[in-house]
Amino acid sequence: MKKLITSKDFIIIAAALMLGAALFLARGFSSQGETVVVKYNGEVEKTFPLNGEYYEITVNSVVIRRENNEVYVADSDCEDKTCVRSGKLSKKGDAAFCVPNRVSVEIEGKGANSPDAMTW
Amino acid sequence: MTALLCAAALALSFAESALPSAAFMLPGSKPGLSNTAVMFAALSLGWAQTFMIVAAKAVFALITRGAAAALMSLCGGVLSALCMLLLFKKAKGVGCIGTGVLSALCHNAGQLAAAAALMKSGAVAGYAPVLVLVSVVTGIVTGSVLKAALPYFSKIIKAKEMEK
Amino acid sequence: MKNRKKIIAAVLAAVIVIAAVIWCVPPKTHSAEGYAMGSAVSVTVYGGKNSDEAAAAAVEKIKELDSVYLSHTEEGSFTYRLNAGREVEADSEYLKIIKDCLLLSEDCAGFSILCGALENLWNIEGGGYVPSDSEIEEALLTVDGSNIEIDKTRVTLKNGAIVTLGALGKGMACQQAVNLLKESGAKNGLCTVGGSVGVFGSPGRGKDFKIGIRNPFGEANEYFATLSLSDCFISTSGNYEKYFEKDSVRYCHIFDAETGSPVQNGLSSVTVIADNGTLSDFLSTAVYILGEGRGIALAEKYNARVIIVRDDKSVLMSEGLEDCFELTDESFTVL
Repeated sequence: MKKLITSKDFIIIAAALMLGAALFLARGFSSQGETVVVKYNGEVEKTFPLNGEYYEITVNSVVIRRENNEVYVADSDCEDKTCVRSGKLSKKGDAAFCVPNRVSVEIEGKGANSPDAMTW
Repeated sequence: MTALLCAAALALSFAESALPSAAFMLPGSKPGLSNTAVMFAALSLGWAQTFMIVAAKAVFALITRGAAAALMSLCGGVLSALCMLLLFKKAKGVGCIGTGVLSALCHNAGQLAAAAALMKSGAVAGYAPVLVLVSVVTGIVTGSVLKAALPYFSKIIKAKEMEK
Repeated sequence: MKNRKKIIAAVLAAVIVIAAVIWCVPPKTHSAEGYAMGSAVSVTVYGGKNSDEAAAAAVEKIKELDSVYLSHTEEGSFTYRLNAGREVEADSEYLKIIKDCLLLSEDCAGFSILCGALENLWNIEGGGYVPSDSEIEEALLTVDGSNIEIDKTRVTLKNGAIVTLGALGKGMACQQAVNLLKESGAKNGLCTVGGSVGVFGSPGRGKDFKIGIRNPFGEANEYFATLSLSDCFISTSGNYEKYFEKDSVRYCHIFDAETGSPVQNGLSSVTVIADNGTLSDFLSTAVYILGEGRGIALAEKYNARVIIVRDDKSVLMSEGLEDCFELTDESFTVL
C-alpha cells in the first residue's frame, strides 16, 4: 500500500459517483408529489395535500410548514437539525427526518396502483 | 493503544460536532473524520480493537446526542468497520482512499438502515442520492488523512512495542 | 482486440442503461381542466409537443359542445332553443347529433332523448316527487320518438316533447375531445367528463390506463374494481348518482321511457366499454334500462363489453374482460 491512490481506488470512486449520479437522476425525474405524510414513531400523525396555502403543524416539537406548495421542517429542538437542513420537499419520495424526535415528513405521489381515472 | 485511538476518535467526533453545521448544508452529512481512527485500527490492529472503537463512538453518541444517534452510529460503524477489515485483510490493490469511500458508503447505508428501522419508514431512502455523493467526498478525505497520518501512528505503535 | 471488445461491451451497457432509464421515466403530463355538462372535465396528454395547448383546446371543445349544442339549460344552445321554440334551424353538426341519437334509441324501447317531461315531473334533482299514474300517462305521451322530426335544416318537436341529451352527452364529449387530441398529433391521452372516460395510447411504459369503477355503495371517490384498458371509451350508469328515496324505495335519475318511471330492476350500476364515446354512454344507460339479459345482448350487437353490478354486490361481466378486470373490494363477488 505504497501509493496514495491506486487504480482500484479510481474504479471504486468512479462506480460510487455513477451510482450517486444515477440516484440523483432518478430523483430528478421523480414526479411531483401529491400528499404530505407526517409520521411520529412510525405512525401516521397527519396527512395533508402538498398543494395549498400556508399551513403549519408541530409534531413532537418539530415544526413542519407548507408554503408555496412546498413543505419543509422549519424548526426542531433536536441537536443535529438534519431535518431542517433537508430543505424543501415537493417531489414524490422526498423526505425529511428528525430521528431524535422520531418525526418524519414524507412526500407521496399518486399511488402506483391508484387508477388514472374513475368511471361512475 | 486502543485507548489512545478511542480518544482520538472521540476527539475527532467532538471536533466535528463543534463545526458550524451551516458549513455542511447537506442533510446528514458529516466529514466522518473519526473514521480515520477506526480505519487505522482496522489497518494496523485487529478486529477486536476496531470494534471497540466503534462501540466507544456509539457510547459517546449516546451520551452527547441520545439513543437514536447511538443506534445509528453503531449500525453505521459496525458496517463500515466490517467493510474496512475485509478490504484491508482480503482485498489486494485497494488503497486507503478506495477503502475510505467504500467504508463511508457502508457507514451511511448502516445509518440509513438504522434510521429506517427507528422511523419505521422506508422513505429514508430519499436521502440516499445525497449521501452517496457525500460518501465519495468524505471517503477521499478520510482516506487521505489516514495516509498522511499513517507514518506518525506507526511510529507510536513501534514506540509502544519497544516499551514492552 | 481485447480492448475493442471491452469498449463494445461498455457502450452496449451504457446504451442499455440509458434505454432502461428512458423507458422507466414516465412521460410528462399536460393537463387541462374545466366544467361542462354539470360535471368536471379533465383532459390529460402524455408527452408530445404542444400538448398543453392540445389539452386546453380539447377542454374548450367540450365546453363548446355543451354550450352551443347539447345543454338544455344554457340559453342559446340548439337544444335550449329547440325546447323553448318547439323548432330550431339547426346546423349540420346538430342535425347529425340528433340523428345519431335517434338511431341509437331505436335499439332500446325504454331509451328516449325526449325524457325531459318525465324528468321535470319526477323532479329527481329538486327533491323528488312520486307522481300519480295519470300524471305519468300524460308525460309518457311526450317521450315517444315520433314527437321529434328532422328535415334538411330544421328540428321540430310535437306534443310537448322536451329534449335532454344528458344520457349521451358526456360520452359524446369524450369522443370529440379524443378526436381533437388525435388530430393535433397527441399519441397518448385521457379525457374525462364526469364519469365518462376516453383513453388512447398509453400513460407510460407501454402500460394500459387504469380506470376505477365507482363502488355503487360507497363514497364518490371509492372504486370496487379497476379496468386496464386503452383505445376505448368507458361510461357508467347507476342508481347512486342522482336519486331520492320515498317509503324506502329508491327512485334514480334513469327513466324507462316505456313505463315512465325510474328504472328499478335490481341493478346498481352498468359500465360499458366501447369503441365510440357516444355509444358507450348510450349503452350504459340502455343496458341499465333493459336489464341483464336483453342489455348484454344489445351490447354484444355493438361489440361492446359490459360490467353489471347487482344490488347484492354480485358482479357480472362480458366474456374476455377477466384479463383486464381487477377486483379491489373483496366484499363484491364476481360471478
